[in-house]
Amino acid sequence: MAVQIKQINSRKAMNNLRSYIKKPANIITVLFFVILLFTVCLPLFSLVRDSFIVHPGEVRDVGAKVNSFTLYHWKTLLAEKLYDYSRITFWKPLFNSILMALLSCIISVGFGGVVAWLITRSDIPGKKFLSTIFVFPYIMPSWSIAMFWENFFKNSRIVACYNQVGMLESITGICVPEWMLYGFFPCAMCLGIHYAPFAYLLIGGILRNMDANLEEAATVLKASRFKILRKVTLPIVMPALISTVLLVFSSSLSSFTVPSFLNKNGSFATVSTTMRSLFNSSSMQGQGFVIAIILLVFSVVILTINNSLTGKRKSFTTVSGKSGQVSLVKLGKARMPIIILVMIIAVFFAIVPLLSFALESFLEVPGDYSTFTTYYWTTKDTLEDRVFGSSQGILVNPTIWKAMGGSIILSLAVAFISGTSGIMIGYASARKRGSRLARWVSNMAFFPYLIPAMSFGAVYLSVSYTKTFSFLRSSIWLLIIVGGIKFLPFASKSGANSMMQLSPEIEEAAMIIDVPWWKRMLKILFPIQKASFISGYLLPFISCMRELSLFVLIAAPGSIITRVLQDFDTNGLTQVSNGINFLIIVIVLLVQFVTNKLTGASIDKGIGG
Amino acid sequence: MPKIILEHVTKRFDKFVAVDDLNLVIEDRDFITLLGPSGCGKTTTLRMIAGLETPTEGRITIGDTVVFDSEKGIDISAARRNIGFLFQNYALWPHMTVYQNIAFGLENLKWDKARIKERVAEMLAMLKIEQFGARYPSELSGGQQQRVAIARTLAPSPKVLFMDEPLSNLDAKLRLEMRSELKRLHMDTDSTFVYVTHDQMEAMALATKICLLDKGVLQQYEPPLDVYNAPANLFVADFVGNPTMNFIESRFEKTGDNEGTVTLFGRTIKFKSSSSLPESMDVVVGIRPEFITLGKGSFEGSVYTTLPSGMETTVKLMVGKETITSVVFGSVDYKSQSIQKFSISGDGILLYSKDSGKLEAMGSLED
Amino acid sequence: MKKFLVLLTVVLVSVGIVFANGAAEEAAPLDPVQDAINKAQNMTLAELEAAAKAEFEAAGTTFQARGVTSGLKKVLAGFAEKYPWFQYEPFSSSKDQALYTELTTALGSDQYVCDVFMEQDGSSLKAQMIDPGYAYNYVPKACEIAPEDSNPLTALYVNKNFFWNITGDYKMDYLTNVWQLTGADGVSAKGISQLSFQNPAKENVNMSYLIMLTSDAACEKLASAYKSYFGKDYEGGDGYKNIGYKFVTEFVKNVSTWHSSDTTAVKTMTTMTTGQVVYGPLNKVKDYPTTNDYHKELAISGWNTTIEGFDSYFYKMWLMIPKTAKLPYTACLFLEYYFTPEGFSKGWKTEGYYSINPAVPVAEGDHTLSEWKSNSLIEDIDYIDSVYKDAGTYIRSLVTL
Repeated sequence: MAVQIKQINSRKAMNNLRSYIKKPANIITVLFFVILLFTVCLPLFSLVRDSFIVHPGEVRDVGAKVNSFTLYHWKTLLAEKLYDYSRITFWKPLFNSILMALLSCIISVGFGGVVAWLITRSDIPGKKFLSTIFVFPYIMPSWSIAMFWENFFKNSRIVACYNQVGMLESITGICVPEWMLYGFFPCAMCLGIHYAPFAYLLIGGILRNMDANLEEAATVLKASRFKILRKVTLPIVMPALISTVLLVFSSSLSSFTVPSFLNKNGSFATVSTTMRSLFNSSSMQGQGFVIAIILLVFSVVILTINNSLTGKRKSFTTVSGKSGQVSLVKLGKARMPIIILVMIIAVFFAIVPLLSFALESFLEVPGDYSTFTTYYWTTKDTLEDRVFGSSQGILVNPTIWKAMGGSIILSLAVAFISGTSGIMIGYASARKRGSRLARWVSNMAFFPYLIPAMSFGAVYLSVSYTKTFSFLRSSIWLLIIVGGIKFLPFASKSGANSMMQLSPEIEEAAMIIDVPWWKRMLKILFPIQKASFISGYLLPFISCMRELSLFVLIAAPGSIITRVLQDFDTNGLTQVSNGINFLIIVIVLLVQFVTNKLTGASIDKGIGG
Repeated sequence: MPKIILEHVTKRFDKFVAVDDLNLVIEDRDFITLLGPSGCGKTTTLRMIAGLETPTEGRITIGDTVVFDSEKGIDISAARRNIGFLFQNYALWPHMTVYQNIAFGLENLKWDKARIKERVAEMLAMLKIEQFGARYPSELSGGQQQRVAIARTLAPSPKVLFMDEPLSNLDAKLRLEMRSELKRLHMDTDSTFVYVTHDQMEAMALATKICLLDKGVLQQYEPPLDVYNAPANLFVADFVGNPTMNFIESRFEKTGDNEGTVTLFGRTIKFKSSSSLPESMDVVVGIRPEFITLGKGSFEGSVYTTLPSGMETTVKLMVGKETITSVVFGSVDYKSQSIQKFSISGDGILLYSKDSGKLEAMGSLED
Repeated sequence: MKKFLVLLTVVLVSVGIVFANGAAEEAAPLDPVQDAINKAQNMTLAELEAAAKAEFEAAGTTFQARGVTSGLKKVLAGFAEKYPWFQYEPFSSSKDQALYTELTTALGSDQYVCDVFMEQDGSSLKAQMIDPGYAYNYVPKACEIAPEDSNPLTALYVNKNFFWNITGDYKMDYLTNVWQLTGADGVSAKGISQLSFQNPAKENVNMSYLIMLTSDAACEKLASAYKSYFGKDYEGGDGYKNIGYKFVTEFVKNVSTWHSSDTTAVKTMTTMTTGQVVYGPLNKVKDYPTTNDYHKELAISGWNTTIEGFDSYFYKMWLMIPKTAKLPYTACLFLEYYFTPEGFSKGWKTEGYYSINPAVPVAEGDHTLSEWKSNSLIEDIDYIDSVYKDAGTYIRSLVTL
């Protein structure tokens, strides 16, 4: 009797298992759970471990053997009183960073939100052009905006910029005060401008999908424009707003290049620059890892708050209304002034930095326009024989073009991996909504975003130095794996977004006539959401093309363009490195443009869904 | 009081003309339905009157106020047109409770709290949704959401109420129920209703006048029975009525002032009318299915299909190459392929010009 | 989400602790590299050449050198020219800490990473390479090597100086005493308030400079310059550990521009006609815009003018052999070649790079290493190591990181 029951039970279990693995969504979930457990949790685990062990350089200060357990890093960073160390090294910068991140949130959400509203809800002219160039600052690396900011605002009254005359002063004679050039304010501004497109894409996506009837209903009930915005529009775009704030906040918090660039007067320490300098020191790397963990915890806490805020009761599902029937707000007399203002700002931060970049590569003396030369682009001379490979002018330099090709191949591969994984994860989490495992997988897929690129690279460097994985060392495969994982978060977010929009019936219709799973994906789901899926590939591509800190430890010399760029930069050929930078941005913009023309995909579809 | 007048109203989206030179007068307390197939411009018309869409040309007057005039550059916003609007998908605000949804419009009118509370309670009671005040829209069924939307629209007692296919998202039973409630509501509220639908049954049942549109052009604007009995052209004749009218191409020869002949199924038949008849011409004869009586008569056809629906039965017959539809009261099952005799009765036989599609004559056939 | 995070944290922390302790034990491996270096140390050049050639041909692999200075690329090329059997991986220079990270990662797990490496920043070298026993030292016989340069083996002296532009109102006599750089006015000259310096928290070599300022040798120089500048002896009692700490504190607080790249700073000097003083490596004059002539436009402390206190700070680069090298004999032979005038001159010809071999000629117009040394501070790996924790922490507290 008992045996029989047992047999029945085990048969039941077998049947359950069989029907479980029959569904591809289940297999994907389990597969990615396992993959991510290794690829994402490994760096995460390693990060935590690194904050508790003695590294080779720390033996002297900690007084313990290499790799032994210690709380020294945590104690020193958080509570060392000698020379006011903790306050200066950690607490003050943390406070600065939080303030900076908050202000950059306000700027990006404010600016991006206004533009999103203008483009989706008003009769402003030139929408297409505006929305195209408005995303430029997000495609460009954030420090290019910082560099432009400095070139624009530096002036003869500020000592920290060597009293050099910048664009603003030479055109108008206006000298801005130092706080506008270096420190808290410009850092927050540049980050805000860099992430404004991001806010625009997220908020604009929601506004576009949001049923315009919801606002019209309020209009008919005599609510004022402002009241509609406050009582109807804002609460409904709130989830997008919150996730923008979340992402901008944690990105700004960990942004390194901007605060490190705009701190020439040494007035403004942030927690990310501190982290970098601790990583860079001979004997304080452990403390760097402590900061990395704290930053990560910060983001996770905000994430959790975000998840619990967008609760279930008020269900913000966006039912699409009748398309093309959105009544656009007439701006009336304000129309021209608004478009002119917005255009000026957008062009100012989209096109001008790009041009000033290009210009730097044509100048013998930085900033001195009388020394214009095309030498660094066209010469067949050897500019500096100590750089890796050839050092001829950019256009004729085989090393540069080979590395550019390498970067493009790498970025394509990375985009393919993370984009495809993103779609799979999106598929699994959309089909298995409510399943705990699926939720874990999509949460894990977001974690690489929160791990600093440098330490992410370092972890995989050490993986490549284990016996088992030594074949990965200095190989392009390692870069592809690392990039594929690091850039997964946005791809999986966009994958989930587009999958959520597809009703399961579409797939079920094919299931009934016994179309195999891969064919359903390829022939049905992909074509329907083509634009949105391809956008999921675009974002990793863009990020990967301009990435250096992730790859700096693991890329073979000359293998990728950013590595070559760094080589030129450290060897004093800033003209060449600026020129390469310009090329990278142009290529990225070109790829985005061509993809958009061919498939209708664009990064806005990737983020905004 | 509020009479709505549309003069030469045109709306173009790029090159596509959604509404073409529409002239319409909606009398006070009318219940007008804008009827037509999808894409005919009915929703656009409604939204233009409400102020949610801007006409390309024309003039719209509500009551004594010109709310839109393309020439004078007048365009009063929807908020100041004193109207109510019921959306197809209800457009309930997901982040507000039922109570907050209904109270919203009243707050905008600066009512005091106690009065708002009273009015909301009244509306909730009227639509029998008292128990849902504290819920969010996502926690209600479709029918309940519909009632909330109606309550929200009616709360400020608008004198003009616009409805954009408000029942199309409901199931058949609920739709019938809500239909009668809407009609009742129209009587109780003393307002002018303008109602968009693509369902001609709904239009027939509700409206005091039907406004039929096709491709942005007004086809007929008359009380429902007039539209049914004397469709102004072939489009209207075809669109209104279920099952659809029988159309038979034919030749009309005038023989007297009120008399003539038409050829039907190879026979020449006398056509008589109470009014004077047009000259001889090629025509399409329109015969409502209920005018075809089965069982006896001089015509013969073989039964193609029989569709009993309980109360009545639709029978399709083949006469030569033509298919004829007939409606028989009660549930009768005719054997397929069996030969049936039938006659054409009634004085509602319609003659449409083959060229223009316009209604030319109405009368009876005499064997 | 919440549960997941709690679970994840618990797992990670506990696993972390277990691993941290578990990984602590390391077996001492048998060491053929140390053995080979010891043998090489006692060979004649001819014997070493033979041993290296035999080793190279037996190994069937290519030689790999890593380093923070790109001059090494050309030395390798010269070496390959001299020994036709020699083949090597193309060289690409790394940033100092990136290279340390790579070296410690590889050597920490006993993996091959390269056959010889060249690094800077004594504190890092000592803490990350020498103390854990990751790298071995070889002393070439190509030239006389002083004890302080022999272990670890100093491969390159690089000096950092004070630069200012003399085409404007400020001339050679603008900066005459290091105490001017603290911003305080003295009896003999005015303080300077425009000082451009690279952040020591990001540039380890500048950290070592500041730490070396607290050493006895530096204090002596600073004290005598103090006397001539202020007209009186430094008596202490102002809370500083010594005059070096005083100078460091005031110097750091007087920095007006924290530049992020020495190269860019020196390049930009063409336009710095309003009294800026830039602290940077002398060798960056090679990056000075070709449209201009630094010989005429720049004053460089110790090079064409001299200042009381010290003219320059010398940091060092060291060449060592990692414990997992595959070609130790070849590495030793490479070091022998490196220290010959022929080898060194392949890599460095311009101002600001100096070999410990006096037979290596300096660039035209430059001074010899021994001339420089008389009025310079010099990186002392042992001193820095001994005070690093305290002085490093103190300096970090002065700057934004």
